[in-house]
Amino acid sequence: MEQLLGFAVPGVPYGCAYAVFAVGLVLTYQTTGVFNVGYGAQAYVSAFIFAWLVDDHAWPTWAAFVCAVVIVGPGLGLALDRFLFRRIPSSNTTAKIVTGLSLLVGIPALLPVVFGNQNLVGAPSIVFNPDTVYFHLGADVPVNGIYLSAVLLTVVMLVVLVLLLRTTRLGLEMRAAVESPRLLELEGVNARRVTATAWAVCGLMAGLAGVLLAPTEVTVQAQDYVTLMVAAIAAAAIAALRSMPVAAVVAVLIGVLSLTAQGYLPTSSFWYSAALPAFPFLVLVGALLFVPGLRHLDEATDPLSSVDPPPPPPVAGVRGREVDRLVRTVFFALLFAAVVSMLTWMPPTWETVLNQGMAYSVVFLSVTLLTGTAGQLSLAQATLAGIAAFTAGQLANHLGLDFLVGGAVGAVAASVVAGVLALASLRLRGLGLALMTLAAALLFDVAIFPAQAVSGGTGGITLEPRWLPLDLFAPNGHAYFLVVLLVLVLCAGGVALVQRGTVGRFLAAMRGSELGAAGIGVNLPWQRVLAFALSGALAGVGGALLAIQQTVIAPGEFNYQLSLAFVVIVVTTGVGTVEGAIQAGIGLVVVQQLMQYAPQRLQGLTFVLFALGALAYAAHPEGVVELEKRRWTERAERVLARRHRAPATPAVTGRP
Amino acid sequence: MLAVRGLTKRFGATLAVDGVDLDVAAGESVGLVGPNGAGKTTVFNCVFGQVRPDAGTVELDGHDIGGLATWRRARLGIGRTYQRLEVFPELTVRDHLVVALRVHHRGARLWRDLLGLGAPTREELAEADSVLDAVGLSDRADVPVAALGLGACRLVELARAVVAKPRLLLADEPSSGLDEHETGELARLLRSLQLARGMGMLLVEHDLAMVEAVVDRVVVMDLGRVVSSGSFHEVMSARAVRRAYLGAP
Repeated sequence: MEQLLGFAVPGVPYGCAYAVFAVGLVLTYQTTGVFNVGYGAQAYVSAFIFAWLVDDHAWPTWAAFVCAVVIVGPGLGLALDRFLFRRIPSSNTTAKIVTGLSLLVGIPALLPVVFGNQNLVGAPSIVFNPDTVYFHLGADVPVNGIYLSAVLLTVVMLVVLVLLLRTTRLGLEMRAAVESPRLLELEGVNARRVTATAWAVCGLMAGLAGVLLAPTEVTVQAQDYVTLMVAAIAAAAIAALRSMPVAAVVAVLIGVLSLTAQGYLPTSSFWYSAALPAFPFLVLVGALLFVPGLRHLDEATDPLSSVDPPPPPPVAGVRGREVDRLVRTVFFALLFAAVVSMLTWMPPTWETVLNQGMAYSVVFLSVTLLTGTAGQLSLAQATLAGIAAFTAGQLANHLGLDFLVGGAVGAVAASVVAGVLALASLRLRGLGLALMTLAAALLFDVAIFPAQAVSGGTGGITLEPRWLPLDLFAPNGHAYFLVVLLVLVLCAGGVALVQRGTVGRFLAAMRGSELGAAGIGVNLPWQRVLAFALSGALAGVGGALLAIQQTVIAPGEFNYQLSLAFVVIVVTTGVGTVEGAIQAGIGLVVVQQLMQYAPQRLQGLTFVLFALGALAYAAHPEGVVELEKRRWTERAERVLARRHRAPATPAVTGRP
Repeated sequence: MLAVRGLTKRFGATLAVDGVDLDVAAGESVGLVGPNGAGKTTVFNCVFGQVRPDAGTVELDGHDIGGLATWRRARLGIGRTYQRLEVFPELTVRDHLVVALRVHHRGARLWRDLLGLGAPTREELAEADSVLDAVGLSDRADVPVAALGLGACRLVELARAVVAKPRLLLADEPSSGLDEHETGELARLLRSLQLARGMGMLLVEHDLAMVEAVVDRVVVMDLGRVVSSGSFHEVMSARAVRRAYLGAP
């Protein structure tokens, strides 16, 4: 018993940390209708500012707490409501998730730009002293200030929030505003004020969670807050995003069970190295598969949602013939100039950069096909790329198979994994599907990719020149450029043909309305599996190309955070078109390379820029780059119409 | 053609549909009416496979289709329009019909798409255009549906549902959101399409004038049960129907 307590008690602070975040997720969902994956980033902002004020500016603890939690927390919540989430129609789940992802990617990258790189050590505890042992459980299990703070915080927060939601008029109004803000306004209630209050409360809770968790880690780092989110998501999912007490209890259990199992399992066993880290993700997968409430999260409940204006029609393919000819001419001229430049005068550094951009473009085409065409959101595209890369690496290493052939086999493997993932998720939609893919990505990150047999361990697999018949590894050589260009052209052409063909029309129908598509006989399960499988193959091909370019295939090169960033990046440039994926790939590496010349402090700005672009997704689902293209096309058509002295025909019909 | 027997569906403590029997013969137009909460849409959803009934059978031409998914029922010849629009906003009007035709005639072939053979054929375009002509949408065939108003979207749904020549059309409150003039036009169109194509039709509708104009026979539901059936005028004079609608004894 003493031993059990000794293993279990240290899990309590972790469990409570998960619980604080899980309760926050449920609260945000219940009061705003948003599953805010950026909640961890909100908590990190308050923790960062709190520690920064105390460490760097010697503010008193209470003053820093007031600033970080009481002012910044709700302020950030209000800003998110005012400038982002209020603009998203209640039924647009994808926009909500993408916006949350943008926050998760953008905020941790933005803070070092604003405040400079900070090494904030030892944020103070505001409740109990972490170093003081207050009492012992049993004979010799010490309970210090960290344990007491965690338990106290969790219990107090839970009681306050449950009372707020269940017994107050404000709580009732918040829940009603989630159902239908417009119906609430018909009852004479200012729904905007209610929703803003809900976001302020959620922001306050996120700030409080961040500051109270800060002392449990040595330094205040964004990574810790993002990692905490995963276990919290699992707990919130078990509670079907409805019950805060259930979410809290499950979260504490996850923490306690993880630490207890860690104590008993032999450190050299598979269970310790792979299964244990995967435990929260397995819980999440179990919840997604077996908790019925999660299957209906995305069913729009607002009876007045049909009065929302439809999204603007796509611009692609509707420009006038003359402008279309002009655009095509300029495109092919630029393409020709780019190819000639790469083969003649392009400096090796930039050739490498652009090669990498093309490899990324192939990966991004997988997002175009899956999200832009089929309307399915996957947060595991980098994982699928990694599956192909590691498969090719191992086939080359053990069987001496050509890496390009191995890459093709790897792409098939990635395609199969994606198809199986789609099959397992057939009953899930929108948010549930996104979470399932995220759980899969995390499972691969912690349990599969680090395995010696898969990746060769943490150092990864170093590619050897003998694995490739072409001189692809030669620095400054053009062989890799020609291969990656050919593959990109084939993949981009293939995606464009699919989009214009029958499968593309079926996928577009599925994206527009699953009910409507099923109603005319479209086999939705098959279309979804097909979309995932094709997307997995594209990601796999891109992953193999990236591996050749990087020459080392390491587990960290294909982690879940990269998957999140991929979605954000492609959404920024235009998720619906092939050009959008290519612009995303080239844009990413060019911006990253240009940032090399910027001051150190601005190095992280790349992801902030893309995150800002993705924040516009709700208003412009075609992407900001596509939006600008449409505006320029309209201008060009007006100019041409004036030149021909004919009345201008607008290229694109606006909202009705 | 359609035979529903003993259909029962319970949502928690609420008995939404209680042992409903319903028939639609080939080429017959049947109206399903009743006050709010009568269970009409639940019957509809059970027939189309969007809701699994707790008891009872749904047969199409003598074959039990109760265990089939919605898309399989659609392929067997059931078309449907929706009370809340279920269009594909980014597809053009014509593409809505092409997709429906492809489902029923040729299916999707990835290799054909990759060889650039996925474009609509001349026959498909002609078939789609003839239906668009019938519903009056020819001039907007190439417009993305997102740019259309509610009335036109209802016509797109109708055209999409009938283009594949279904044997049975389920029309769920097609007049929802339309004004009196539009409703009258839609009623005439529905009836003419139903007669011209010889399809059976089950119409759920609150607008009784439209029901009178479109159907051969009416089935009235109240509190999950069928309370009357017969010709429009017969059922409207029935005491049970008056009680259901007006609360009169």
